[in-house]
Amino acid sequence: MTNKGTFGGWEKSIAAEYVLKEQFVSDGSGGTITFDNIPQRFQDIRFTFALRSNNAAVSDTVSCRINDDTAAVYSTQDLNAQATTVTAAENIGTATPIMLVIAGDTAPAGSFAIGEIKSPFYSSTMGNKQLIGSWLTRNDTASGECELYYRGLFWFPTVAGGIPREGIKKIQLSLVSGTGFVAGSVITMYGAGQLSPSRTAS
Amino acid sequence: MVEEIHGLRPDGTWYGIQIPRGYRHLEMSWQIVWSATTQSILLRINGTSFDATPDTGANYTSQRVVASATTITGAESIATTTPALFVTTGTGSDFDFFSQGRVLFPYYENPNIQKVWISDHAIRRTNASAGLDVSKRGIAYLGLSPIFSLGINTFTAGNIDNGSKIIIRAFD
Repeated sequence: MTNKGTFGGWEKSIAAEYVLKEQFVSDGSGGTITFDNIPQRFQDIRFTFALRSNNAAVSDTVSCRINDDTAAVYSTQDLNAQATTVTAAENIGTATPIMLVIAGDTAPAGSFAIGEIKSPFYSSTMGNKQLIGSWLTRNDTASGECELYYRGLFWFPTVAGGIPREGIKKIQLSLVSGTGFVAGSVITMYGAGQLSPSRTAS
Repeated sequence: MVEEIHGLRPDGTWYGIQIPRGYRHLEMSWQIVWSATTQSILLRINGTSFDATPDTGANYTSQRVVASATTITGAESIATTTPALFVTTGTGSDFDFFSQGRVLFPYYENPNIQKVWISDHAIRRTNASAGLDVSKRGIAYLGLSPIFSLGINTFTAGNIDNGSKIIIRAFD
C-alpha cells in the first residue's frame, strides 16, 4: 500500500509500514528534502539518490541537519578523486555540514549526482551517528570533471554527560545555493534489519 | 529477485545478462579469479539479446580511486568504449585469491537521468606489502536509456577459474 502526498514541491510516497521506504521525487520547486518521523525500529537506514540542482553553476552543495540540531556538532571527512588527483578534506565542529556535492544547472544535460548514503545503527540511543556516502557527479565532459566522492558525516550532539541519547529521527537535506532540485531528482530511504520488538536499540 | 551466474565465458565474446525489469535498483556482487595475468573485467550495457554486443559507443566515463599499501591513486577514463568495472587476480596470485566486490546501479530504469554505477572492490595478489588493493569506482553512462542488460567481457581471452561467480539482485 502506498500513501502519496506533497511536501515542498516534492511528491512523497510511503510504502507499507513493515518495509520502511520513503521517496521524494522533485517537481523542480523544492530546495529542501525532509525525512521526518523516521521510525526507530530498524538497525540501519540507507538512501539512494539521483540529484541535480538548479544552481547556475556546474555544481551545488547540499547541507545536512539531523534532528533539528543547529549547534556546531557536525564534522565531515571527505575523499575526492578527479582524474589523477585524490584529495582529502575535513570540516570539524560545524553547524552547517555539507553532505553532498551534486550537479548544477550547467553540468552536462541529464547528468545527476548518483550514489548512496548509509547510516549504520542510526536508531541507537548510544554514541555518535554517522552518514557515509559515495557518489559520482559530472561537472563537465572534460578531463578532471567527473568527480568521485566518499564522505563521512558525524553528528555528535552535546547533551548532559556528553553522550548522545537519541537516534536519528529527522534528516534535512538543503541546497546551499540553488532554489530547487531539478525535476526528476529522486531520493529514496530504506530501513534495513528490522529490530525485534523485544529488543531495544543500543 | 536474485540471479546467480557461474561459468562465465571469457572467450572474447560478450556474456549477456538480461536483467529484470520493473525494479528500482540493481546490485551485483562478484568473486572472480582469472587464470591468466591480472585482468580487467569490462562491463557494458544494453546488448539487444543474449550474447549480443552491448553498447560499443564511447559512452562511458569513469573515475576511480585505488589504495595499495601507503599509496593512493586516482584515474579517469573519459568517454571510453571499454569501461572496466574491476580488476581480478591472475596466475601470479596465490590460490583462491578471489577479486571480490559489489556494484550498485541506482534507478537503472529511470529514463530521466544518465545512469551511474558505483562499485567497491578488493583484490589480493600476494600477502606481501602492496599486494592488497581496495578501490572505489564510479562509471557514468552518457545516455538516458534504461538499462535492460549487462554485458561482461575481458580485455583478452582466457579462463575464469572455478569458484568464480556473479550474483545479481534487483530490488524495490
